[in-house]
Amino acid sequence: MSSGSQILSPSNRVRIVVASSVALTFISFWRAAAIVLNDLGSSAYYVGGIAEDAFGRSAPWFILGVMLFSFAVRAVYVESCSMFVRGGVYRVVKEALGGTLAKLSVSALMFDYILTGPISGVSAGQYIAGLVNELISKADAHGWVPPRMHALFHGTPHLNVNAAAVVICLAVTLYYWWENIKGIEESSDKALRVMQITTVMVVLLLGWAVVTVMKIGADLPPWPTPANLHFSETSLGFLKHTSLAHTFGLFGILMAFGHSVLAMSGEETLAQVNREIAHPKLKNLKRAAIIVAIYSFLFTGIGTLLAVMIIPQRVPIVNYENNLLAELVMWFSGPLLLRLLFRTFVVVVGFLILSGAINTSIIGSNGVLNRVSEDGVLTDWFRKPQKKYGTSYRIVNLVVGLQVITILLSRGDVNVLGEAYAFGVIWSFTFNSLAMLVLRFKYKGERGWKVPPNLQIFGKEIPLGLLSVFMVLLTTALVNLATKEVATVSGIIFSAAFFGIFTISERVNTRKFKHVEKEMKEHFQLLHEERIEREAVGIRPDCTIVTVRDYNTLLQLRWVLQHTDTAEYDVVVLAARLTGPGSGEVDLSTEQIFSDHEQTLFTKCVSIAESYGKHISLMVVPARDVFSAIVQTANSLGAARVVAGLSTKMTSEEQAFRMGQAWEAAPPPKHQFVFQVVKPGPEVQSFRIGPHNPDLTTEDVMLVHRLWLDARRQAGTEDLHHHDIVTLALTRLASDYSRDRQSVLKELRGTADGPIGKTPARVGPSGTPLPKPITATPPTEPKPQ
Amino acid sequence: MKLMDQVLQIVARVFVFLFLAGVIGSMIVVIISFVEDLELLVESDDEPSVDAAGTRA
Repeated sequence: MSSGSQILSPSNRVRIVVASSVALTFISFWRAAAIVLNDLGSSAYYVGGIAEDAFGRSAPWFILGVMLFSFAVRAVYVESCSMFVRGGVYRVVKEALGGTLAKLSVSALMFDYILTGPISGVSAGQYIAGLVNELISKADAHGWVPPRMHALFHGTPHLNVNAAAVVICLAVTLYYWWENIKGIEESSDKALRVMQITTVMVVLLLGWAVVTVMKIGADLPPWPTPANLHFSETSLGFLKHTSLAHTFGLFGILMAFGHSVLAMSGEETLAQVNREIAHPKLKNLKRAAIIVAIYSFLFTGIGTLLAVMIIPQRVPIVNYENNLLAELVMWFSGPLLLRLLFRTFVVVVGFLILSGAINTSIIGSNGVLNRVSEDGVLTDWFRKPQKKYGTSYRIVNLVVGLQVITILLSRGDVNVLGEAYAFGVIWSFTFNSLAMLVLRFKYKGERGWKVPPNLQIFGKEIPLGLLSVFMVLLTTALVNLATKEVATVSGIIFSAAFFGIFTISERVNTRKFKHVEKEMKEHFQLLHEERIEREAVGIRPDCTIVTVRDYNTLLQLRWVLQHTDTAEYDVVVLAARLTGPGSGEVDLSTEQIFSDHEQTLFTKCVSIAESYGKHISLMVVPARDVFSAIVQTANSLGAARVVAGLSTKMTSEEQAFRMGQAWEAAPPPKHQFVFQVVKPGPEVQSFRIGPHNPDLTTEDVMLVHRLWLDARRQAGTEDLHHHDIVTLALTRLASDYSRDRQSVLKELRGTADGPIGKTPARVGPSGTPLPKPITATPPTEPKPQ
Repeated sequence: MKLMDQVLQIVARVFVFLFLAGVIGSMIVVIISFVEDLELLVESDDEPSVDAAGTRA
């Protein structure tokens, strides 16, 4: 592509249709709530210990207060989601507050995301190591530990809890690093299942705690008055040398609130899942939000309250600060074995929920950084896809690298991590609420819902509710700057580093964007569409969609062009731009930058088409899931077939299976198409996606015919047709299947092991193998079916 | 140092005032939105929605 060439006339330029809406599969509000709770609920495991360590036994009241206040923060997020401002955190804040604060806001959000992993992983490690030590000490009490072990450890054998926590956290982080390099998808199924198990644990935990309180009697924690606040030297931060350290009065309430604000970390996930929530969106978003609020109030708030009530005051906080829920279980009334078993259950659930939060943090950071890169604030060097898996591996490496450094620096101390984490949490909330407040005056577009109450004074609306939430967040954030030394220093260094990277990247990108824009205009005609509609984008029915990702492997495009008469049928080259959950709330917009990789990809596609003397259409769709995006585009265009190259990470059968799953999940109207995978050779394997006539073998057809012939000889069968034989056979099979599913399945499996099983197993929409390939080799003159 | 302390005390009072005013306002937000959302949670949809399995009903 020569930058010095003349701009071609629009008719000569290849058109790229850029869809601006993300192709999503929608989820119920229960699933949305489960995803948010996986992040939000994890803080129940560590916030109680951190807050109690910071200012004493009145901590549960402040955590309850924070959980109540999180209802109001939730309202701000609901209003932000109900607005139709295009863009992620960066674009929304930029629109309200300008570029500098927008970059700071994203930096704070990144700090929040990156610390979510280490704090969750280290906390999970602390719970596991704590359980192991407890089991060893109980075994030792029974004399089950050999004396040699005693000699080795100079007493009861035990794990160094902090060191074990670091090792466990590193292991889980590195596991999810590899999963993310390979391109793991965040599954709402998994989130829902984890939350179902967590709910069982929460019900048992709270129920048993209440029974214990009724049985042994327990006092409420000290009331949240200044006199009952006992700040440790660390929790006074920069204030320890001032008079406020001794005469804080009501200011102490504000300081204690700041130390408890960690309890609502994860609330920001609500904005991420918003785009995926099913219709009616706002209603379901609010439903998900209230479920999240009630659940976390009970789990984190009431759970911590009961823990402080039940664990005797004589037990030093240092014994259980990082194992609050586990320690609580050990003070329940009941047999020791049962308590140990339940503690194990609590730890297993904790591991599931906390390790899930590590994955969420990597996925979320990846999504946010991908998004800011698309917005031109981070150079597209970071977005270069991994050669084999197509993931933005440089961003994943950066995020996990920072997390590993954080884990090692923390030395397994949850308190240090918690203190730093609070910086990211509170500042990202503060920036968001400030942006929403400013947008109340600046943004005049559609808004589904507003945070109440709103006063009308002289025809002007005063957003009293929004202002109140902002005042609480801002004062808390500012006080935390003074009381949290580690958070302030590390947060400022981190944010400044990211701010610097963003600022330099933006300058580089501004220059580059002008150049790219010019080059794109020279060779491509960009057409932005909200959604792909066949008529609107001028594609004829029964087109062929060719999916492309890597410009080094475009065999499928060559094959299609070789075998398709483009004068009769359109060939649409489709590139899905993956957007992570962190950018799930956003769309592609006109200003977004095409990366070098995308430009090369499109240029190569056009060159190939030109070498065949054929015309192609290019299309870019943002997608959370590639297969959903392909199926939705195929449905919108009425495509007859979709052609893809062989995936580097799955077989053609698995590709077809995933395509079938996406087809099943796609909203109606939808129609059948043929999915073809072009392998090197070239060898082509075809699958039918959607309901279709089965491919009957000659033997099957003959059997139907023989049965029909035989039945036809009998009296009263004059009107019998071949399809009646098939209908009867199927009806009988369905009846047998409902009566004795296992034996039918056994027979079906036996059939699949027979002659059919010898051919590569191919997969239909519901995951069932198809009898044999439709096309074993490339057709001489393929016509879209 | 003494002056610094006095400034801090004044700033602390301003912060406490803003914080408490914000807390009162936020509690109003919580009450209104909680009641509103709770009604939504129990009310049925007029239009087809998506069930827990993710398929449209």
